[in-house]
Amino acid sequence: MQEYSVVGKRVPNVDSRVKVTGEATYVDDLVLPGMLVGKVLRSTVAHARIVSIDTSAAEKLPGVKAVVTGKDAPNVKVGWLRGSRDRLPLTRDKVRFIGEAIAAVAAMDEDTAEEALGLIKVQYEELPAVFDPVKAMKDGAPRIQDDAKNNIALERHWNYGDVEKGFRESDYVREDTFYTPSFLCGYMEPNAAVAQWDANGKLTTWVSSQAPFFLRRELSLLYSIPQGKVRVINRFVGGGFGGKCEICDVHVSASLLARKAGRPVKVVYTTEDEFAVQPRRIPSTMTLKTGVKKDGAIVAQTSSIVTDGGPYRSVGGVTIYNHGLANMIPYRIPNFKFDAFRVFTNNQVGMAKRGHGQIQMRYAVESQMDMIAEALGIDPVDIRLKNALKPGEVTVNGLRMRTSGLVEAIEGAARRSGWKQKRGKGRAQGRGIGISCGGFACGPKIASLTDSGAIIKVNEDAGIVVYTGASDIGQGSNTVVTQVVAEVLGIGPEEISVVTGDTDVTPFEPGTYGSRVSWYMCNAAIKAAEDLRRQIVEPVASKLEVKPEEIVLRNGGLYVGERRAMSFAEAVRAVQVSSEKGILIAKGTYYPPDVEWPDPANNYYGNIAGGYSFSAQIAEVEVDRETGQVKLLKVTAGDDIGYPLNEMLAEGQAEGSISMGQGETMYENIIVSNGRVMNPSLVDYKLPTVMDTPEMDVTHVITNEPGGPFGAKEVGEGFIVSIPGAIANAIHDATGVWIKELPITPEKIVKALEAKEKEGKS
Amino acid sequence: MKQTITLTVNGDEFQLAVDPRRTLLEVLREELHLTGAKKNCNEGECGACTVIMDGKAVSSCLVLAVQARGKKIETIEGLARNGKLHPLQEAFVKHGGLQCGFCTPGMIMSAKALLDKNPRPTEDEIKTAIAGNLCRCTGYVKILESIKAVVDGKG
Repeated sequence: MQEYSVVGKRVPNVDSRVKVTGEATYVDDLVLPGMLVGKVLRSTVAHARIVSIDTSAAEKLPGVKAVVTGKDAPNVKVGWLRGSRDRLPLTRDKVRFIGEAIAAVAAMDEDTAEEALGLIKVQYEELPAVFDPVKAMKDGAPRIQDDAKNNIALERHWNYGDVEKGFRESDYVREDTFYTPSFLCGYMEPNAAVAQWDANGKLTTWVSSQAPFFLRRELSLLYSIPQGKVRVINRFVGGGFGGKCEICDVHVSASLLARKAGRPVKVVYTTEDEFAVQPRRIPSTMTLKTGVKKDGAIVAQTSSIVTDGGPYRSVGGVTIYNHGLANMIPYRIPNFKFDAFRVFTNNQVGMAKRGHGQIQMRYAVESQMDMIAEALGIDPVDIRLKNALKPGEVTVNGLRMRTSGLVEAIEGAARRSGWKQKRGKGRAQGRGIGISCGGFACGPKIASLTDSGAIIKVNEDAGIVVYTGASDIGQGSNTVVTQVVAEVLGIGPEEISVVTGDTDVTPFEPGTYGSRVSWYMCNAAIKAAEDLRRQIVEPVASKLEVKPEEIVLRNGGLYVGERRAMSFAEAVRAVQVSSEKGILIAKGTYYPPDVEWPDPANNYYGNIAGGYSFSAQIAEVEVDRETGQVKLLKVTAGDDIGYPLNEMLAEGQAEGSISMGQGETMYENIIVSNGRVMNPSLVDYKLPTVMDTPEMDVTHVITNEPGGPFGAKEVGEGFIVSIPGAIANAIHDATGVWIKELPITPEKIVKALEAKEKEGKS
Repeated sequence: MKQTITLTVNGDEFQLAVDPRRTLLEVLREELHLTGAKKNCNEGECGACTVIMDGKAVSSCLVLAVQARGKKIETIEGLARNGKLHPLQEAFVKHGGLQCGFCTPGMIMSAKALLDKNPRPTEDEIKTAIAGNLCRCTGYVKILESIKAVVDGKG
């Protein structure tokens, strides 16, 4: 493993000191002079025409300063992508799910705003609603959007090779259907916004966003003002996990209310707001048909999915594309057919959550992989090694694996977990062990502008300021960008400060999603640092009468061979005083050179990312057969994240992923009945606590991805996608039953065991 | 009808006129501008608002400000002394016991309440002390490591 001086080290998170003292301020901590409190009124019915909204009583309540409805908002539809702008920010004529924003109130204090919401009278004319996506696709089902026949919001179809021929040539073929429900992103900081308009008509909004530049674009489109008239400023972001990418009614109501009241307005979501509108994991029904040879080699697979997107397109085709992407990595499938539908229903809107669209499919694929292994009498580790993508392979849909450490990851995890000694031997004691694998694209290309930029400014005393548009949502992007810039300039990380999250200040960055930040943003920052190095080294080299390439920056100095010619600060000073280029400003932009948009006209073929991460997870569980209670004892994992830019932060991503994946597999579920969320509290929803934390053992396979910054790949998302499969397969090893829908609750296990027992007796 | 109360927060006394319906969390954040205690669920489920009241960790969203009358309140802002971080704060920095930071003040206050009473807790006692503090980022591993480092004198 290559050693660097700053990269790869356990550098503490650069924001951690202000976070442990409580100094770090989030949106709700911001107070502006004259600021009002805003609250949002939400629909209580799932599908209805709005006959009338009477706000007169609310407006008359003392302390109320503004009431807005859809009619106060521009008649402009918003959405993440050009093809998915189908949603009025405050609905006007119709409501399409329970919790949809109808109106908002700004008042002197929270109690008054709450009281005013209760005084708004909404008269509905209820319409037939549909909550099951399969029923929604049938002829005669209630129509939710005028432009979508049979409620099909979006569909994707790929066909590679010849699956029918593949099935005929297979020794064993099986078909299974799996279901995953809706999960909450569950970030700890409620979504919030403060908005203020100035006398020049400029909107400034303080937010908690994974994608401030997307938000600026949406607000600019909504209000028909140039992007220069919208300034989006991120505070510290208290987690995101995909749920803070999109424009929400929190942003729209704060800005509409602030405009109408002529004063700054703060809107902070309550837990009920979050359960109503927080972008959630999309529920998915997946039917997989897979054909294999006797040795377990996959010959063909068809993957058919129906997802429940709620009544809007949201992130559009990305979620369903990602399901297919998850079929393609990390196993070799020579013949593949994919049919995917995003369907409109009157449930809440589905969007992105960590492992977007992929964790669902990995759970299905990995469960079925073990069913196949069992039927053929192959060890689950061996069947995975047989099918694992190797370096240099190109998948049938065009994904190019320049590096892959998957085989080593599987072998290492199997060895360290004691797989051979444990597998298939613990059922009498209720013990089980299971394996699952995954892979993940590092920053897939999903929109036209996905470049990142970075600017470096040098202070008069040679201190470095890096400007990037990336949102540090806790994962530590501010820390890793500090490390890569320090490494290039040969200085300590303490010499560097990072400025992010202000659309008026930093260069463009699409946002913190799709596991793109380390790859794109660090590559842009490296280029900027190299630009700065050149600006410093070239004039100094001529002074020293050496060639620029003879100068090496390390240990805070400029070296010619072993001789320290001068300190970094002296070099900067020399350039600043002597050259007409003394104001040192450097820039870098990055776009991966060999990435393609998966063109619909070409069967969605294309290499969508510069690199792909891999992981293999082995879970060990203990199951109480009487109660169905599962305890996750240990997760042993190997991952290929290329090269860890910061070992401590990389571990943190893996550990957080295990916990979040454990929640989705064992406890969590947004229970929706006739469009109503039945468990809208953190206790009833059941987020994992410290009591649930298993033992964890994560080891990296170092592959030094050529296109990655210092060889790094993504680290934030890929790790989670294989957790549910590993736990599900361990539960099977412990009990002999398969649970084909998440979460795998004690009730489902007990029922399955009872059914199995009956089957055995009959 | 507002009531006059005296709160002792981080050693400072405050005379306040508060609406009896206001929670301690609201008064700390809105009147005293001590925003380290965070508001998330506002119903005692997440632990982000944890402060110490007379030596005991409490969800300040479930305590009325008038109930805290005359009590000794400690918040995250009172931990660092003379520019020096508390050993728990140092340990959370060094061992990466935080990511987004939103649960961190409450997590540290729960841990402090435990260590103030029981400086050598077992792992189970540590887990019990922070079982009511939700963290979505870390999976709790490095939080436990941070607290254990202080217990073992390796902060």
